[in-house]
Amino acid sequence: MSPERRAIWVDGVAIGGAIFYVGVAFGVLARTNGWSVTQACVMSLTVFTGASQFALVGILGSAGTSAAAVAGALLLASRNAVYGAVVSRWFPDGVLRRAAVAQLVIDESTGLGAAQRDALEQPAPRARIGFLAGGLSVYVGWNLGTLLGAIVGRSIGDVSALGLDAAFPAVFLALLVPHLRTRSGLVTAGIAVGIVALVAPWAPAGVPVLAGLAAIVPGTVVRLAEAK
Amino acid sequence: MSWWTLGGVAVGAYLLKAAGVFGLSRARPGPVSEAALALVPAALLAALVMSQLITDGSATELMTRTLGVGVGGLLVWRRAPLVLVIVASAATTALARLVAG
Repeated sequence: MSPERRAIWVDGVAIGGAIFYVGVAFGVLARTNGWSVTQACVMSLTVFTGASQFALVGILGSAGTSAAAVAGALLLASRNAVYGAVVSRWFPDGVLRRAAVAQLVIDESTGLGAAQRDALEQPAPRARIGFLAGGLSVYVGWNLGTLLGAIVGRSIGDVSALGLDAAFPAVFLALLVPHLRTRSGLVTAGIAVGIVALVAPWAPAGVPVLAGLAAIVPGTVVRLAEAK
Repeated sequence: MSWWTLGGVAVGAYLLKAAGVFGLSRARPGPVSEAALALVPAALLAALVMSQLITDGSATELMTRTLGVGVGGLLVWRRAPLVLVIVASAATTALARLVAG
């Protein structure tokens, strides 16, 4: 394996390691809300979208109806459709391969792929490795974590004490920095941050990130002016 | 929790992912959509940073989280490896929460 490939995999495994602990938290939460170990594990293996799974458990746990819980979980998952459109450029061939790739489409895999410098080219070998390194590492970490959390159940302490909620924005910040070198990238990122700050206090979870993508419109105007 | 609810979410979540992957595969982008596509990572990653930074929690949680992300940002600026960024930002926040009680 080339040093460059290895470096991308190291990043992916680091993210997967952090996700492991979040998986533990999910397993514990599912058990304390009356789910079986099997249900918690099957959910992480099949749904494989952290935020949606937490939302489902949370809404059902706070006496919400099944319909409300499913709707909330799927609203959160809707950004994966947008991610899928980005990822499809890196995996243009093979129905079966793309069907498998689709299961790995989440924040971390799309983010690590998009952070590679050939992400906009075709073919994009580095972006593919980034996506697979992030996706597979997170899949393994998330599911092992869920299993452990579900088995251990309620005897684990407060997960927020580990401070992992700070690690994830920091990861995305690290992936973002290379995209701030152009003026259009800087403008887009700045506006996206502003939109999320304005929308997040009142919109349901999952919507702010989608709203933030609207920053692409003014960013495109700047980029087209740059190119002239 | 019923298996029906779980199955519904599992199928729905996968169909959303697959819709994106299979939807736009053969599109040939023009110059405008090419420029827009180039900015997807910047918008996406910036939106994720902000939304995960200000996600739910008490004022103490938010403050300690911001401190950890700040330390992470400093390390990113110093070109530290991602593993170090993850460990340092989580450890800073964990320590701050320990102190804040």
